Amino acid sequence: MPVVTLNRAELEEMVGADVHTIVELLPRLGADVECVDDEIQVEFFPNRPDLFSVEGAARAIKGMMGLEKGLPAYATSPSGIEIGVDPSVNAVRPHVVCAVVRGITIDERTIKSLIDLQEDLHWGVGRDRRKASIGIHDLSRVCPPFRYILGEVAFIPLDFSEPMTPAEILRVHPKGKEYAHIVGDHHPLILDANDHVLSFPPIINGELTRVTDKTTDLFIDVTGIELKAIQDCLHILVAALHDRGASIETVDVVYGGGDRVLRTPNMGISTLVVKNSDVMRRIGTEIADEVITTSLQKMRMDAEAHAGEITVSVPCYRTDIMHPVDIIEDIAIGFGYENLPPSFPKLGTIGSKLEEEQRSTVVRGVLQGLGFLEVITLMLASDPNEAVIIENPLLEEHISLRTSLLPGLIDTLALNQHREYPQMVFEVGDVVRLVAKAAEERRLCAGVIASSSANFTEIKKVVNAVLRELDRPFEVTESGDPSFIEGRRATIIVNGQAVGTFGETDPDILVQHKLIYPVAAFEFRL
Amino acid sequence: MVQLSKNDWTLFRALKRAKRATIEALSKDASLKTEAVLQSAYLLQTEGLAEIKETIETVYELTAEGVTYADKGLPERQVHDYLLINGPTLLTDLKGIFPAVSIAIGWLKRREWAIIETANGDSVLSPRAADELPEERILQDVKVGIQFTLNDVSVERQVAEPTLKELEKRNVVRAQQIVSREVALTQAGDETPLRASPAADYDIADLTSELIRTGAWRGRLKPYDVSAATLPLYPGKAHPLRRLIDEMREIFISMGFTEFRGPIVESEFHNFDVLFVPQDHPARDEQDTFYLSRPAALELPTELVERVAAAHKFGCEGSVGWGGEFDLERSRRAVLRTHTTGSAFRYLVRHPQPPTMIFGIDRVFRRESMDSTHLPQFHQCEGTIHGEDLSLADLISVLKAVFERLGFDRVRFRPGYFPFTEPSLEGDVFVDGSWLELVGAGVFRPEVTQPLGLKSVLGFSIGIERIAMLKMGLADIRKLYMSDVAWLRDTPSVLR
Repeated sequence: MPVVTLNRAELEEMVGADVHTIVELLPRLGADVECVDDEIQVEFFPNRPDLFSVEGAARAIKGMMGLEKGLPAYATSPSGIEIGVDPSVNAVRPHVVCAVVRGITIDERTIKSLIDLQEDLHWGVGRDRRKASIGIHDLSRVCPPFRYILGEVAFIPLDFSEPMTPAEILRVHPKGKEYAHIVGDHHPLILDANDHVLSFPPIINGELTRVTDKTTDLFIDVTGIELKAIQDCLHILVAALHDRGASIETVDVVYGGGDRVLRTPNMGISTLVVKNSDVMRRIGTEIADEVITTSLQKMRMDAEAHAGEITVSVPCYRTDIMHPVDIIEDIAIGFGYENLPPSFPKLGTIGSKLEEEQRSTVVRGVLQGLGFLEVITLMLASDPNEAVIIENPLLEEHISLRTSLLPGLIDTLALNQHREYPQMVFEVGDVVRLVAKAAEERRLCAGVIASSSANFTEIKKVVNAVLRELDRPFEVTESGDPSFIEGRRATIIVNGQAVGTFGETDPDILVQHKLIYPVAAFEFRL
Repeated sequence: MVQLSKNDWTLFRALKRAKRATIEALSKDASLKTEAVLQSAYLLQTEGLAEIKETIETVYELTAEGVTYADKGLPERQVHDYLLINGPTLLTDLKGIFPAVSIAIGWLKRREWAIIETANGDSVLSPRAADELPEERILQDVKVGIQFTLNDVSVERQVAEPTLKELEKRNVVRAQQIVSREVALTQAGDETPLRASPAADYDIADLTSELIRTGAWRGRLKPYDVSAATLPLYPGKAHPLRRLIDEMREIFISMGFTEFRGPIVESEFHNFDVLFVPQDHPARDEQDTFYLSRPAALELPTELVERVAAAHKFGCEGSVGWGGEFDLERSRRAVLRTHTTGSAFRYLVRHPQPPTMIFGIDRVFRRESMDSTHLPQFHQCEGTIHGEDLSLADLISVLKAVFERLGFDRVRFRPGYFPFTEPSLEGDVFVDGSWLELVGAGVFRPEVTQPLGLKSVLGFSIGIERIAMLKMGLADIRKLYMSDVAWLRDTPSVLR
């Protein structure tokens, strides 16, 4: 989950409360405070990217504290600036939305906060820039109208001093190398009226439009493969800048030379209707309309109740609201989970255990009675034979799922060589085998005895006892299992079917595990 | 001080006289068997009255061969004696008399005790002078019990050394380690007075069936030191994690839940799509989930897939969905299930008629490196309730009841986030001065329940290993899966 760094002084200033009051309140917004210092590290839920900035967090906290209530207003006016979208970009990154932000005071703190929010949005909404990426520019350095095209115009990328072509940037620039896979051979560019490059999305901006402490007006572009995602990013970003005191102007995104015009950002509200009865049913308590409206106002929404229905106005940056249930959760949060009355569901169901688990419980009891200690080992294994194989393993010894419990038990013995002997351990657990190309899960029971007197007879006695208790008459035949000593290994046959093996473990295996006492082992399918 | 037995007092008395003596000497002096002396000596040592000093010495003793030679002489001496008595003799004849003549001949030559001449294809041996050898003297010494101990530094011992080595090479003597114990009175022992009068004459240690039948045990059974330590005895037992799992199973069954299971090898469809997790959600990255190359893809139920795909693309009643494309190839991909929530919905699809309360405790997999708090696989307890009009309040009440039965009475619930529930919550318990998150839960979204034809569904997932670590005071989660037999033996069956 995203960990967002908030500047403590800024947060206190924007909220108008001290940090302790704020930190106390954050868990009620579903945030986990990780560190409080000059900077506060907060882990927010990934569905609330609007909280990923000090401005957004302050906005929500003020609501919870009752310092500000209801929907914040975001006025926009047209900037008169246009950006033309060339159809060629459809091949790689078809969408762009833009905004102009004026009258902002930029200092070091603001730049850091902007970059942090940009990066958090790239991760949280943009899926590491693939779905959406943001460019922020000093508007005074360029000359509109702008064009969004595929091209190969050379420019000086950020942090470099020489002009480079987009292809060179992908080869040489660190950001180019990191994100080249998103664009491949198509190089989207945003140019101004004089063919100066503002940005090579989603890779890098031009040095030309670098934001400095002298910048007062910004041009923002968000490009991507999904219109909703890039609009979400733009709304969250400009709402934050607006909260800092800037004014917002729209940009016209022009398609097909004027056939279609999209005016962005659209900071309008959306409305959803929620029934009081639905709220009651989902939350589990009666809530008066006034309580619902107050709760929603605390969550920075507006609500009007009429005849059992609540009409809710949702701000544009609340990208997580998809369905009335999302509103209902906000009502519950505003109401307080701790204020819900006790209410155990009266369903009248009768509990029952799985038969397979019951059988496992019986066999565990028998082995414990015989003096065996139960162990639980990992299901990830290293043997690819007849096994399910992991495509992206983390460790060489964890490339597959186990097909037998015995290797885990031998490993357990190897771990315990310095412990008192005799050692008798068992495991009842699942293995997964590849049968006819499909994964087949099986519940097995296996045990080992390690001692100077462990032998075929000792383990056969155990197998006899366990299967007698399970009421499963069985026969044995000689086995060819290579993990046991030839002539001292047997197959367990129940109803004509081989269900397991037992015998004396091959000394070569013991030597591999540096075991010095004989080991006798069994394994069978439950 | 523990109660000393009659034997203990007897030994103590002897030791007070001797101050320091070997076990054997004390045995003789106190008229006790050596085992009894040892037993009492250890007790006196525990009480601080005496100290047992062990010395390990290497001494030489005769081998079986050595015993014969000590009696009859070395082979070369035997042959030489024969030659002295019988004069020059043919080798062929000697072979008939001495089976080991070849050994003797070698030594006779080396020691120049005989002249060997060849005539008519046979050898004739004539005796020469032969003084007594140092080997022969030492052989006699060993025979009569003079011990040549390795740590002896006397001149004789030093002179004897090469000869002993020679004899050891010839397998006539062998080095043997001997543990000798001496008991010494300690300062405290010296100061502790002897008891005035010994107690009654308890002379029977072990009750036998004979003694029981005859009643001869009366008044004669030796009292024990009831505080004496015994060797530990360990029963076979369940793994602590299993005991916790079983405890939780009992709790859920008592609350009316039915146990369920689902497959470990799961499709992305059942693991993610069914739960309305968008196909480009970060949790579905190769970063966090184990994907399979064998089997790489799984068969899917066509009709169900269509309904779920529609919810992803267009939402359900009152919702907009994720938009974009729904990739069927992606849905078919096989993964190791990352949670048991998908398994619960498999059950609900098979049993769509409410009311249903189910639970399952099983393994789940996450692509995480192992450290003291993370494992690539762990256990999750999944609980799912399906009914008409179930609420967040119901869910919180059920969870409170579960945690109360698990012994956590201070719990709190706060907002949470999961892509498939709304409202969502996380539950913490208060242990040892801090809040610890144990459960994630929520009311499933209509985008999850409607395509499956379900009413309202509550769900929760409890992390088992976290509770286990709490209850067992474990700092390292790996200990649960890499069992130390001593830890298993020593961990009580009763959980905290």
